[in-house]
Amino acid sequence: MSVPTRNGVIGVARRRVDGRAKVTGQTRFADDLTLPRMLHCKLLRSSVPHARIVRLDTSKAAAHPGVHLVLTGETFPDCLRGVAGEPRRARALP
Amino acid sequence: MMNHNTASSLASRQRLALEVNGEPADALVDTYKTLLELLREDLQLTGTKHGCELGECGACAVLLDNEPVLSCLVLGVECEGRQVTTIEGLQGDTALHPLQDAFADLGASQCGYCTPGILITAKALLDREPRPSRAQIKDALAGNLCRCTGYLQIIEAVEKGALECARKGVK
Repeated sequence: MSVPTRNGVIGVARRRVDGRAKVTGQTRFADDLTLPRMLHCKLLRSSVPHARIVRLDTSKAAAHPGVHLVLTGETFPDCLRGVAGEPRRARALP
Repeated sequence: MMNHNTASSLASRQRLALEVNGEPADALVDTYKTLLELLREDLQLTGTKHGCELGECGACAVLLDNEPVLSCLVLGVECEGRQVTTIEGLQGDTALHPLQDAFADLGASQCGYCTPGILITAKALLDREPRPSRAQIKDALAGNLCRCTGYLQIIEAVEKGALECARKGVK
């Protein structure tokens, strides 16, 4: 598929700059990083589309060993962005 | 991992001795951990990728006693005394394995997340079938998902890697 050119670049297959790193397993993806004091985040999403959230009980989650913080929509009372920009009374996470 | 009071400290641990990429490895591991977690978290070999954790995507493939396995479906404690080969152990002392060269040369690795698992699976194929047909390559890689390349470059790279292995006399 290569086409001879005067400058030897156009039409000539070139390795990706990160090709070597990727075939040797050296490329660092987000899941490969470990940083000091790093915490992991777990999103709990509604199992029902377009449902109204009436009540959230996070007490067990907050009490679970190793859990540092539980955030819900109540943490962000001024954030009203929902699906397609529709305002909500509910206390869901955006 | 991140907290001292997480479930890991409640679980039992076991001292494990195994061989990883030709070198002895020794770790005190939680008995619930998979081989994938043992490699990535305890031995810091993050080249083996954590994909679906269900045995569907092939990103976590490694060689266990020279046989390809999905490391997310193998418990670490099953590997006592066994030989594990990961992507970090594929290249030689001075040169990349011909499969690695072919993947880099032919654009068979784009985002690169599936690449380690595919290279390991392809290596296992060449170990048992040094001159595989295209059908055999497709069959061997059927359990490895790639969302970037459309597979054609990968299949061509395995073909080229096989030829180069034969030409250079590389295993």
